[in-house]
Amino acid sequence: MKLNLKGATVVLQGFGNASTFTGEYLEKLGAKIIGVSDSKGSISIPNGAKVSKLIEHKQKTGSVVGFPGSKKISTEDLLTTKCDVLVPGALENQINANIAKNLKCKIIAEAANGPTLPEADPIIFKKNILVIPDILANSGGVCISYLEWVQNNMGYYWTFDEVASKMESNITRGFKDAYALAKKHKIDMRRATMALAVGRVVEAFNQKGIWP
Amino acid sequence: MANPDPFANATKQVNDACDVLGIKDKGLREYLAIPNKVLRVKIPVKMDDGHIRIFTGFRSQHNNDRGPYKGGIRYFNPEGGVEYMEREVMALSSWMTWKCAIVDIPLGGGKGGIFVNPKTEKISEGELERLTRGFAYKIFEIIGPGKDIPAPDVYTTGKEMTQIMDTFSKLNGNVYSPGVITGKPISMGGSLARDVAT
Repeated sequence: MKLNLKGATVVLQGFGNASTFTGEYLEKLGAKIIGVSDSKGSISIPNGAKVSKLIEHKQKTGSVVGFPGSKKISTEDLLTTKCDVLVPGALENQINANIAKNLKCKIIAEAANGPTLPEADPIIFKKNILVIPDILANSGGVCISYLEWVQNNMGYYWTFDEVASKMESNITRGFKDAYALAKKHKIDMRRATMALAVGRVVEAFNQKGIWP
Repeated sequence: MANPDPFANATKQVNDACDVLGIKDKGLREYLAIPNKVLRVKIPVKMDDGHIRIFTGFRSQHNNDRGPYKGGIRYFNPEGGVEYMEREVMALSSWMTWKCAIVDIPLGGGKGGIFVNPKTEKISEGELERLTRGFAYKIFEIIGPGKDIPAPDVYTTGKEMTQIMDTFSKLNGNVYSPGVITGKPISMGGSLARDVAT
């Protein structure tokens, strides 16, 4: 699978840690933010905005709403904006069946936990939208924790770049494995991700068996 | 409105995955869904004004077939109360098992927390430290670098991680044990690049 993010359009729901990090990361790969929201409301920015400028505006005024060149829109309009990547990074239960029907994105990267209702999954799958499910999309935290633990155990510490590249390879491998399983079983990415994980645990369990 | 049971939701996801994998054994399905151990502790804290307050803490150890339990400790007061929080940490510990397995790191799933909201309740820095160390004492026997390695979660930070590591190290015969917990500040054995990971 090839993804070129140069010129890709991105919508961020929520403007906390998860979504701003994701936004900045996608920006570095050449993507453009065209919609964003926070607790005060949602905005559309047809010409795009830099994450750093949005943060600046929020710090000054308390919200991203009112950002120069933006228009206030509803949450539903934000989620159903035509874009390449939708990042639900705010709350749980945001994408229901109704919103799913009207989605116009190619990829959903679930930065928040549980943003998609189970009723929406089959609809999203039918529309051929690629979902990077929450338990994979926000696994960066446990990967860095793992690498911290490894460094603690050996009493030797890596540089920033060493840690970052190890973390990235863990997550990329997880994505590739889940994607391959989704294709093989013709199932959505959420079920593929879980099946991959459960299969790995079962494999370990079978090796050990039950004792005592 | 009754809160949906988060643990029932986690269990459903395990069953769905078993369907995909063709796992029919009901016992194996239950083995995969139910945590290995759920510990519930009472944490008494002497408050600044002299009275004693009892807190409730949890540690759910879901699965360690692939490596030691791993998962956060949250300080939170969900709407459903203490009983709901227990179900919540059980569900979250299950998700940690799957999360670690997906990215193929040799760790299992755990989660824990204390029913307290340090953001909305008036609780001093000293009270919070006594609470954190009290909790670390109560879970001391079930955590460790090769057993269960907690981390920060909702409303906990590197500060609490340091206090837990320090409490654990001292109880552990003064064996320096940075590997008992992650999310520590750099000076305490934390890792670079944490600030870019979510």
